[in-house]
Amino acid sequence: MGSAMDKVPGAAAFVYCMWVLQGYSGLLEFDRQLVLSGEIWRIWTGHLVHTTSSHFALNTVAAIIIYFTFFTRIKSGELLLYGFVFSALISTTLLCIYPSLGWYNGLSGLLHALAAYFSVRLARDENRVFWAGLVIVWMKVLIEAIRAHSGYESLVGDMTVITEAHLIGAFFGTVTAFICMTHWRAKGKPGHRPIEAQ
Amino acid sequence: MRIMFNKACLFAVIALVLTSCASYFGQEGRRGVSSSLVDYLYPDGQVPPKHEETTPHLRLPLTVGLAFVPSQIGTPFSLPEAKKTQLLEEVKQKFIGLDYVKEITIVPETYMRSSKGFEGVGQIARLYGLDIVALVSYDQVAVTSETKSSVLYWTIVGAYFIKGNQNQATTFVDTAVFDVNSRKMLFRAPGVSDIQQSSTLVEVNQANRETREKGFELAMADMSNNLAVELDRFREKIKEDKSVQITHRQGYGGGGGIQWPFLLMLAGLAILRIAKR
Repeated sequence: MGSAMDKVPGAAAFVYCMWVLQGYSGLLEFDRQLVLSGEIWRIWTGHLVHTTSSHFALNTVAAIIIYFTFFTRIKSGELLLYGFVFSALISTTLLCIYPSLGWYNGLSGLLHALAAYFSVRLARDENRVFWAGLVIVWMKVLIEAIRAHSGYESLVGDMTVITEAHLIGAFFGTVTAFICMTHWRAKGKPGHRPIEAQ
Repeated sequence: MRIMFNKACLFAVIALVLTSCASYFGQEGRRGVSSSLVDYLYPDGQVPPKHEETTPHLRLPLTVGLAFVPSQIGTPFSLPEAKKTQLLEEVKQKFIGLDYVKEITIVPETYMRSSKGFEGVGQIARLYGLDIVALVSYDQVAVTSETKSSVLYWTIVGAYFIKGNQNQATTFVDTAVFDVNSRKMLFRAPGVSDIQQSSTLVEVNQANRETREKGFELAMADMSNNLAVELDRFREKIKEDKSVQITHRQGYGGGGGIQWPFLLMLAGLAILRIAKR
């Protein structure tokens, strides 16, 4: 419990930074035409800004719950590293295979990637119960995909939820986790320092 | 005999004068103008086809056409084209900010007159690149009647100063929104108004015209409000059933968002985990 409390100032700083960035969404959100015209930073920063206050609140609360419930043992540096990699992968995929998507913002695609990745890793290194996390993530994105295919539109307020970003995030999180595990196993070293049981 | 003849001539002149005055003052009347959506979409007695289970496919954001259904050519009391355009412009301004609406185009009535039926609507849709069309049909009845004070019109001066005429306009407008490709009506919204305005005899034509225009303005405003309500209902409805297929075209966007059900599930898991500790 003590280690979780240690993380509170960092989490508060994260929420504050996200809130401040909300004021610069025009400059930071993923916009296809602007990315293609050279504003490359939007590939990463698009995941940090949100369309509306409710969009921001839902994603931030979800991030806080996921982090404090399951991933407090993950180092901040690792979260930043994988956040950097996954946000680039998600944005680039949206750019390449969804040419109809003009703009995108929000943290949830990245959250799906991180949740999938760390679920696999923690299931291997710490506790098999974390496989349930991966199953939940995949059940969610598959339900969303089926609903979208059936013509349903997911909304947060008046904003359309780009569920494809969730699917892409879950895909890259899972694939990256299995690639890393295979790679580390081949090299004969643990993928991650075994985490102490909580 | 001569006196009798003179009297008869005098009565004849008086009767003639009285009749003229009565004709002059007689502005009472019932006038109307209307346009029928069914007559426009199914002209020359065409019978609407049987209901088919086709699913409209809307590609967001939508390009919407907005037009009045033309009334009969030569109808004397129809609104001028400029006024109709102004009324449609006000409706357009109310809905232009919606993120799933790319553009709202006002289609002039002269274009609508050029061809009738869904074929005509299809031609206009291709011309303007429209996905859906909102057709505004209307029915207005304007009545001018004289009140008791109109008796003072006999003084001639009273015709200029006494408001002895009552001008009433009852207006009904109805907007039906159609998907161009499937020819299916998506939703509709009505608007009504009923206004009265008194006027002097010499101003009766002008007042009547103003009343009719005001009637249209109020009915269109009422229709706009109802249209917004119906639009919300339509959005909720298509979320629940599969009556309309929605896809996104180039330039469409949105956010990656966690929704309430998943957030509640996360909260439940968090509570379970805390309890387990």
